[in-house]
Amino acid sequence: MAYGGAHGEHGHEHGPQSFWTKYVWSQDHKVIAVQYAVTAILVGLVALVLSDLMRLQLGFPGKFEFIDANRYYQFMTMHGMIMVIYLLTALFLGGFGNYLIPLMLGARDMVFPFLNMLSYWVYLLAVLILMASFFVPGGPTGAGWTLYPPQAILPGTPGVEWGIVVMLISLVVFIVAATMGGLNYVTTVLQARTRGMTLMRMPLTVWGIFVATILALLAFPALFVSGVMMMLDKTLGTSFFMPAVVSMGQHLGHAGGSPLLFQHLFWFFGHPEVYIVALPAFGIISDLISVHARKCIFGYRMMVWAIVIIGGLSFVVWAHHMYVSGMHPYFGFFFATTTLIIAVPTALKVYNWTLTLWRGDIHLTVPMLFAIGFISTFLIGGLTGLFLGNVSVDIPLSNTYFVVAHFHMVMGVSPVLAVFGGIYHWYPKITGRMFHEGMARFHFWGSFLGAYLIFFPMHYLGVLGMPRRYYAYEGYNFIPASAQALNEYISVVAIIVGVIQLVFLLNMAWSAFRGPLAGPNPWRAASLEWFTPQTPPVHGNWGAELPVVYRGAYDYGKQDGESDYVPQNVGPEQDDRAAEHRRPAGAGAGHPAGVPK
Amino acid sequence: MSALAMSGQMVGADPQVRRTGLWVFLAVVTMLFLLFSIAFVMRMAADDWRVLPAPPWQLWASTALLAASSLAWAAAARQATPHSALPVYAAMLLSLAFIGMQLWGWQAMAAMHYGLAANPANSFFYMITGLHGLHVLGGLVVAALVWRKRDGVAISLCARYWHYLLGLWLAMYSLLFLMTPERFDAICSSFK
Repeated sequence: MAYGGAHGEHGHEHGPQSFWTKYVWSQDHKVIAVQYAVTAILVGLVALVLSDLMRLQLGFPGKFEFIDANRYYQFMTMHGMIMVIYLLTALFLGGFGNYLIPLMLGARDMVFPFLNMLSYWVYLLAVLILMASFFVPGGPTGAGWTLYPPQAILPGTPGVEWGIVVMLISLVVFIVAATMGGLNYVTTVLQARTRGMTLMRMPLTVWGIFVATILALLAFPALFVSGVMMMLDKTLGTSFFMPAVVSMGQHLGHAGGSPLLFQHLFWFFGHPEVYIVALPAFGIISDLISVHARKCIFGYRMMVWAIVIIGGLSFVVWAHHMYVSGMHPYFGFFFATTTLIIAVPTALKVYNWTLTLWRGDIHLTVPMLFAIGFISTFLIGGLTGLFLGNVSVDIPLSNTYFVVAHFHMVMGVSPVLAVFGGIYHWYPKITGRMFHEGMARFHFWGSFLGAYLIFFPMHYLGVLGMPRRYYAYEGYNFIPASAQALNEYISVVAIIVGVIQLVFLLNMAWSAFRGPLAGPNPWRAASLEWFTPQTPPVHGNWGAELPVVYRGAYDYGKQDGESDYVPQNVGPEQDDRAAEHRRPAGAGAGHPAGVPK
Repeated sequence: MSALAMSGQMVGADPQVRRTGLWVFLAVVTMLFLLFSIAFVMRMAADDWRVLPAPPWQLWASTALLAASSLAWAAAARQATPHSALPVYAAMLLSLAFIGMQLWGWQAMAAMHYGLAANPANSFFYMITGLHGLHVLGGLVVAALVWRKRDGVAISLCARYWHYLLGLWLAMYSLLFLMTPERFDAICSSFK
């Protein structure tokens, strides 16, 4: 709080001066966003390496002796947990949310900057605790990212000594961080929008992040509850989830607990989590498509309501993850129905994206490539979701590679493509410089085609009946030998795609210092974040006066001289003067709207 | 206006913003305890469930202490400017006494052989009361920080938070000691 007073006295143009207050203990939402993003990407690299290690074992079983069965399960668990929570959730909410919410809404910062800073440092603590589990006796937990009891805390599962405890502590700490951040994002959207920025003028990116944050605030408590209860089962011998178990010939002290109760709690978090990752991606893709196709997003109101309805429905579908756990057939019927209903607003969004592209002035820039790639992978992943959402089809496909293919396409590859598209799109605003086009295009084609080459064949493996989660596949008569050839090929591609990601890191690092200056608005976008007086925006974002908003964020395709769009902060009475303000160079000079009070 | 908006910190000082922030936080805490309650009634269905005994007197005393603390916060918030420290200190001391009394209540329960791992109902009792107590302690830390600034809005937000904590405690207290498998079945069948 002490820094806050100093801000007020010095005003926006000074901000914090020393290296430490400016880049490390910063309360500036833009710095915190970059801190979140860099941390998430670094920990994501760990998860990427773990996935390639798993592929080494699956493609070339037994060739790499250090990958034994225990290590394999530890890699699998950590890969899943890191990717879903510590990379994607943190990057979308902490990274994109932090950077874009205040800039897109015309605010000077998040409403509680100190809490915002604390949120990052607590997140970093959670990451460090998680990484520490690689170094504790017994290594990290190998219980799978779902951490199902009773096996998660019974001898025989790797990491049962320390790993599971460290994992649960790290998750609880992460939830505290996410709650501190989430309070900020929701309150900022509700209370700190600039004049004229009604809810129905907010860019869809903000809508996606806003609703996803509400989901996070309401769903993470379920993970917290199940984590605390499992911790007590493990450390203090309670029996919330643990039934009477004979382990290694001995009766354990537990009795009567319900593993199914854990599954209900976990998936009550776990399913909204899918949309915590998907909704910000939907928003980002909507903005990217509209800007780079130079067309107003098709059906803006429909898009907003689709986001809200998907968010609401995501709380009543969780048990479709539990069709094979044993449940009353009516329950299965209920959850299959709600699951299929979710396809309606989701399909609306996909139609609206394609209708936005329809007869648009499509520029195949790098962000646009990623956006179109997202539509493709999300469509494939969504369609296989229709298979798995039906109980009778799910039962034979459950626990096969079909499921692995489905969730990697829909919530692995797709959100990551949205992340990359978003990073490339806002990179010129964040750094003031343009990324290297060639490297970025290479990165797109490598990742996009690679993702298909890796995950598409897994559908066939799944239909063949190849079970997921197995360490080795020798000696199962129902798996043909050709499956091994396919596994070998998938592993080779996976390793190549993993290496291609280094091109992205190189591009980001190199271009931040050596890239050509990008100017304030290289994509000629209409939303507010491109009209800051400085690029990159400085502390306080907006200079002396806050911008005033007169229209939605998607006024494209209105040819007027050189310009084909109207920024959000240009008023109706200034249409004749608008051309002057719309010149990208004009935006740097000062206050683009120039609105008289 | 622009001087006020100049710093994010000052925006955060806007009473309406802080009120909204608190409401959002209370929604999260409500969700947390709602999920504990759902887990409680779901776990109740198993045969090994033993209903908790009549609560020891310490828990009634702690209920009174928390209610008194809530009243003291209300008195502190009613002052236009917080010129008198008495109600605030009283509220904080009463809250600390509440925590102490809850711990004494734990001891009484354990002495009655209702230990943590002996039965799932006991486990829920210690876990839920413990987490409620942590929310009281967290509130005390924040209250102590804002009290140093003699911040009137913050005092009224503290009052609101303590009223919430009291309501939450009453809800959890009645859930833990009044909800039995039979009553739950009766509630469920009344919807048929």
